[in-house]
Amino acid sequence: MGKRVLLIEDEPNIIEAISFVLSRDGFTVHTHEDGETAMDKVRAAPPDMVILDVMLPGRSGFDILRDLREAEETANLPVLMLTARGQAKDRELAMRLGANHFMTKPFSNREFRDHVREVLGE
Amino acid sequence: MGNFPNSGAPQLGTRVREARIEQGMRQAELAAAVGISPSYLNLIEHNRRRIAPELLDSLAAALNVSAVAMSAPLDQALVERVLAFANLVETGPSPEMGPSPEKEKVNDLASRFPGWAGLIAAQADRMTRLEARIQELSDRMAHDPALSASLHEVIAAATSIRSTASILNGDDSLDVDWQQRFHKNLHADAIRLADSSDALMSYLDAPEDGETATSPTQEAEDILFDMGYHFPDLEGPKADVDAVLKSIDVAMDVKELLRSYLTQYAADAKALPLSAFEDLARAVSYDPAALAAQTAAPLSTVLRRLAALSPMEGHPPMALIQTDASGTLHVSKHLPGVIFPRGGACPLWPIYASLGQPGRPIRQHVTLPGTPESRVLCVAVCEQTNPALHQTPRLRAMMWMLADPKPEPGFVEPIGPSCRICPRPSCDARREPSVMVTRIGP
Repeated sequence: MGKRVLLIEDEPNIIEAISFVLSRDGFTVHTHEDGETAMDKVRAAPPDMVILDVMLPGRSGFDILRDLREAEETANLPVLMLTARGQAKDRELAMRLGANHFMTKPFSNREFRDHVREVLGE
Repeated sequence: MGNFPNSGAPQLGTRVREARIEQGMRQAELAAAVGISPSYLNLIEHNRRRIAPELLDSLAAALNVSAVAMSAPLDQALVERVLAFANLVETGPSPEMGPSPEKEKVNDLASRFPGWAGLIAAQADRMTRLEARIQELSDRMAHDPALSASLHEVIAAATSIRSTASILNGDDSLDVDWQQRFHKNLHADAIRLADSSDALMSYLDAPEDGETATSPTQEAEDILFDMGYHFPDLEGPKADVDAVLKSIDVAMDVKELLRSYLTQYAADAKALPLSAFEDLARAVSYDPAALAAQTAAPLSTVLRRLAALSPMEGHPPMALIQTDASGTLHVSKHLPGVIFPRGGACPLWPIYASLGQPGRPIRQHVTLPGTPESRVLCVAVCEQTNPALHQTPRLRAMMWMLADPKPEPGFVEPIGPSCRICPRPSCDARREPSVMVTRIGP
């Protein structure tokens, strides 16, 4: 069984495409669409890595990232953030809050896969 | 020949010299033609001697020009507009600008080349309006939730399409079920992208005639600007707002905004008839407090009336800005060279402070960025328009501005147009970084 990746994203077709790409690379992909309950999902089934969208229903990805870093058990959990907003201030905020990497949408699948491996240290 | 006053044409000597040079005449030649010494003519041409009406007639005849045209008063309003523009463009370093404008020669420019001066002033006004529109659109892009959601839709659809298309394109061994599934997703996202792009374009779309207002308020302000903020047909006992509006072909919502403005204008004109008000304003150097005291009119009426005085009649440039508790600015009259963003203006403008003290006017000298900085006198007052005790107060504030006032002792507040385009790097009221600060360095 490959490494567990939790994809926190609310766009169904994006979820399907990313899940397919990562599964084909040997990862076990779990998904969650709601920002409000994302932390519960992380605690219930701790992943090896989180791919976290910024614009989520309920809570923003930045707030979830903050919670991940404040909790002892997830303080070092690798996180790759995804956003539709490519402004420098969003990138800076993500890195300041402790994201391991940051990608702006739309992105190529190759680039995405490279970043996932990089974040996992592979 | 007629009695032509000389006092309204301070650059008359310059015009004489210009006309003489155009005719190819030497000073001695012209002086002899009109019976004065060349040295006296030289003093006249350098504006060091006034010209008696009879001598002006003789000079005009000798130069084969109209004495009336030569002695027309300098357009002071035009001079102010050109000077304001020169101050505004000197805000930051600009290698492409070349030498600084010779501001001490502005009277010469307006006198000798009124067409060019008018063109500069018109471009200055256009630049002011365009910059205000850019600021408004920028604010809209940054803070409009509908626009933000629309953009998000476009990007989300594009992301899904890109990933899905890449899967289909890169994997020949893809299972048929997956192929069908991804093709279905691609189709759905393509439609979504088309719809969201269309919605976005409709939202941002501008009519075909080029530069137009972004809202009815903006359109109404543009019309008032084009009409010079002065309505002779509303001055006097036969003021007819409907007749004025009939001549303006605009949408109903714009017309209603104009009706509101013009109705107030007519009421103010009735309360403070123009001729007497003009004379009094000149006599008290346009001091709103003195005018309010002498006319017993409310300060707000006096401020609106001052703003209605036309620079074409020799009055100094004045502006009027209005707002309510939302802080959104409405420009009732522009001040040349000063940008008023509709939202997100400099918080140090006295109009905002007046919202916190209804009924207590604020009088404040301010300086605007430029080289040199320009000084403006502001008088701001806020009124509560609903007397009811158990309602949220309806506040309406206005700020009158007088360009280049006589300096007075006391604190002068350095302000800007808005944080985003203000070059003051160390302002403690700064709300966001400025695109101008990097131009002028740390």
